[in-house]
Amino acid sequence: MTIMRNMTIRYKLNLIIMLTCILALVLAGTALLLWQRVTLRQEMVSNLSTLAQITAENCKAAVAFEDVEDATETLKGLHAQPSIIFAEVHTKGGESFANYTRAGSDSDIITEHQIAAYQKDGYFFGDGSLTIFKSIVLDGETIGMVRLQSDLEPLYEMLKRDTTIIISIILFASLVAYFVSMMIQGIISGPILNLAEAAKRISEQKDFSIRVQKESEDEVGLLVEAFNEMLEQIQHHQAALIEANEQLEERVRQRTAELEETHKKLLDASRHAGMAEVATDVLHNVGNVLNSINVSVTLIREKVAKSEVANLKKVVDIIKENIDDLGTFLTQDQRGKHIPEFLIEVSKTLAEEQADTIERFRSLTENVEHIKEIVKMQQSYAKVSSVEEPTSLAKLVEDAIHINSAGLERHGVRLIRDFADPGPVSVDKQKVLQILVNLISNAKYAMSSRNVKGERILVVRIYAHGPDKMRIEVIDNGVGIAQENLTKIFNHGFTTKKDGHGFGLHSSALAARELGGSLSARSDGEGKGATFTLELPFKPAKVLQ
Amino acid sequence: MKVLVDCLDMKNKINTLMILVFLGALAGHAIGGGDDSAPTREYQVKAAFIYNFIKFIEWPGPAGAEADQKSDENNEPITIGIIGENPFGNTFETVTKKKIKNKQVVIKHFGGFEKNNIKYREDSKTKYKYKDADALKACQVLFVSGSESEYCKEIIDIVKDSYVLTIGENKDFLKTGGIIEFATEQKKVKFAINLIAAENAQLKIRSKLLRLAKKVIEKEEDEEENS
Repeated sequence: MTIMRNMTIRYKLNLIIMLTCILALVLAGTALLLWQRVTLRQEMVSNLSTLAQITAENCKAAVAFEDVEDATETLKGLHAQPSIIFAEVHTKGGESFANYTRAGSDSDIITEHQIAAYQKDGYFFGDGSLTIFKSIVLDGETIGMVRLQSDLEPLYEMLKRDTTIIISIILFASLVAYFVSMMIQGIISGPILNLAEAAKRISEQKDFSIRVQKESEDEVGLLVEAFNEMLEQIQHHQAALIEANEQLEERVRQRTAELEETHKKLLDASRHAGMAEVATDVLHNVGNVLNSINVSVTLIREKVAKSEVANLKKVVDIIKENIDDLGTFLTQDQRGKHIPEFLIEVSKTLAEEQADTIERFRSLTENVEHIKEIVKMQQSYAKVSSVEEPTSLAKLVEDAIHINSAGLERHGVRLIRDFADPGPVSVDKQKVLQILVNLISNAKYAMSSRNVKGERILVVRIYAHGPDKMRIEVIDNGVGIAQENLTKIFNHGFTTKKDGHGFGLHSSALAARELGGSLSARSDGEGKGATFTLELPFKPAKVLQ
Repeated sequence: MKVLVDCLDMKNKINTLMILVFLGALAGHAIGGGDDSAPTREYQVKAAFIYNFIKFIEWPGPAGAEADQKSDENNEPITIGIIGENPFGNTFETVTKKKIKNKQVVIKHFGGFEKNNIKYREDSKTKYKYKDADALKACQVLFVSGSESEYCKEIIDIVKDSYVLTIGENKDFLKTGGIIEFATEQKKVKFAINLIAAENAQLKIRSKLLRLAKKVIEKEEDEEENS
């Protein structure tokens, strides 16, 4: 059966038809042979019985007249029938009267039960032989018995002949059946094979436009129909899929472009945001300075308002009234007498006021100058972008500190500079400044909390790290960073500030990467301060200023 | 005896039969008179042969036809006559129980020819006439005993036209016109048949019997012999 499973349907059909045919033929043949055997046996019994009857008839007189020679002669006549092995005439008493043995055969030995069977007519098939008993009846009286024993050669001969014929017929019929089945199996296998062929072609060529010719209205026809329908659907789906695929590619392309655009915008935005941060810091400092300017101005105005100038005007008015007789008035009049004293006092007060105002203006000027400086610095950084120019890291740090100086001062932060300046380097000043301003601003903010006890110390270090790296460290003793936030702080949108937008460190980190360096943070935990390290490639400036 | 047998029921039949056989033997012995000797094997065989001859021979007329089994009462019996000394003893008596061709068999004993002739004169000639001549003629089978060898011709002449199967044991029985002649060869009983005589007696002898005959006298043979 496993062999059958791997055969093509054509051979399977053939095999099934042939097996059925041959089985039927063999069964029929066997049945025929068995029937033939029965018939032949009966025929043989009948023939032998007749022969026995004739013999009995012929021996009748011989037995009646005890003529052994005649009986023997009669029996000898049986040699014409070569299948007779043995023949015997018995007298009524069971004595052998005459017998005949076929030439070349052993004389028969009769068994006990055969003798018992002697008493009446009958027959039995012994091994390879048929024995017939026939009584010799004379005038209604049994006077003896004839026993004929024939071998079954004729039976075998006939059976052999019949078997040969039947086998021949079976072979011939099988051959005919084979050719017929070869011809008609196509009715069933043809469409199926077509279907299989089509399926194979489709799977090889991936051509779903192939259709199978429907040849019949039976189950195979239905199969073909269903197959074609399926192909139709597949083709349809495939087309849709290809279209969808193409559209998808187009869409991906579009999206990619959009994303690139967005990315660019985002980059710009972050850069701008970084710049805005710097601007905010700048403005903050500017605001601080402006505040002190404002205070100075108010103080000046109050001073001016309270000024002795008004009293001086009163004195001047009194003098004007008495201008005609000023000497008298000054010497005689009660009020006049106090005027010189008053004037001395006023001039003294005015001189003080002037000194104070001058001082304040000087401060004012200083502050304005500071603002000018900051704005100028900001302008200088904002102007150039991504341009490396020779500069000193220490100067950059000082600038950053300077921008934040107002805030630092306000919070009473003590600055410790630990510069091991490697000398002039080639660097994108704007970006480095942006990062440093951001870092210092953050440190200031971290230390601005009321939770911070003791002195607020900001350490800024510059040192070379290895032959080709330099580092700027901003170390504060502020609120510190929680362990879980250490990695998040550089994420876009992450902030711990109430009004922060989470851009500062993110854009700083980006800027550091753009510079070919890195920005890292470490903290021992909340309340334990933080250290931000900006690592930059060391590129000494080639041209000496 | 037959009546006696019929009267007895089956159970005792065999016993009775034995007694009867014994009685019969005694009777035979008594009747036989002069022939004291018991039948020899030879005569037993001959008796059987005579019986069997009847089966292979057909008589003309109603006597010959095989009897209808159902109406055996109406059938005439087959009579076997024995003329002369009875060499069979009581053999036949025991055999006659059997029917032949569904007919009863009757044995009749006739005295010697010589002793039983009646002298009479006719046309001034002394002639002899067997006293039981009619009875002889009525027999179907007549066995001419060896004791009558001298008168075979005379005896045959009596019955030759009366459908009687004549059986003899003399050497020249056939020549004298007898139909069957017994001869003993090497202690075996054989027989010869005179077919001409049989035809004269209008008896049909089956070929089977003829085949067994040691010698058959036929017309052609006769002619040949004559010529």
